[in-house]
Amino acid sequence: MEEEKRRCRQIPQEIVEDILVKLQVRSLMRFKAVSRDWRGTIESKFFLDRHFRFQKSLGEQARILTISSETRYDRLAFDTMLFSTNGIVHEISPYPPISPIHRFKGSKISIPCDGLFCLYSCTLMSILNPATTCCRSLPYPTSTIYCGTYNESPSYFQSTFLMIN
Amino acid sequence: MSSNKIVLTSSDGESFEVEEVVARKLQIVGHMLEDDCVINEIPLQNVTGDILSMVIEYCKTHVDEEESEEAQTKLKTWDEEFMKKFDIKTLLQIILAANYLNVKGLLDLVSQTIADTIKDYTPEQIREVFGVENDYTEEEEAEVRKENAWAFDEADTPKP
Repeated sequence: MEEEKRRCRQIPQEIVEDILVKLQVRSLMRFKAVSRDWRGTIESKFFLDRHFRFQKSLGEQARILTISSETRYDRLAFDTMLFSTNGIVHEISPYPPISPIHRFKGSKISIPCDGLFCLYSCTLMSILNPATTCCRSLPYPTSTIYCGTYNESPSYFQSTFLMIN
Repeated sequence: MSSNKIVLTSSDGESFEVEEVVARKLQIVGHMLEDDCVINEIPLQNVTGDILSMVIEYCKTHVDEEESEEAQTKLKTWDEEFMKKFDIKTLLQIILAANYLNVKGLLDLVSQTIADTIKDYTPEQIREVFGVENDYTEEEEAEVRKENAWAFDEADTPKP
């Protein structure tokens, strides 16, 4: 009876927001499927700002994303770790290998632009969002990508990003 | 510091006698006391006795928050142990109470604990625990899941 009563009591959206602010992006993306309200909250500009501010306020922590080649799958794999001044706080389980860029040998990583990175080699190119570890490969380039320098002009990637949006 | 006693009464009629400094940790009570300083008994309609007793336990422990690093560490350890006692349903009851009674520290602590607990939940588990109705059509839900597919395959993640 008591248990039943508890279950029926809905949690107000403002409290849900207090909780969601403290979650990592991966959980938030999954919880968009809960209901329209939850999705609305998670996608709202107000919430995004709040989430960003809160995660930033954790200050002493740094989230490190590592990319390594996954020999078993012959792909690149992600790993994230949270660091603080005391050392590793939390090791997050590895993300699945990124499928679009398998056999991506000799690839390079660009400087970030609008929070996105570009993974590229002479023949392939992918845009990577380190916050979500989402990776999207770009259409096969018609001409060879210029990969002589590490410091590509930011506006180059910006326009690439706009193109895939 | 005043050692006045104040009686807090829960929605199911349970009474708790606490010192005024403890009761003032509940901001809702603090405001009432400012409005009229002769109250000794305060009814709290939205909280049951079992939850109120936990909130009071928290407030008693946090009543004099010392600045020293040692005291802070001790409190933090106490907080962690305190939170371990509760399942997710109870945690949600406590957050509702902390919100209503306006206990800032407890609100932060519980919301963080809930976030840590639910981070790997599926949308179905969230609906069940939070009492949320799924108002998506089947197609819409499939679409949202597809868009965010990378966030779902926890179980399929290969362990190198």
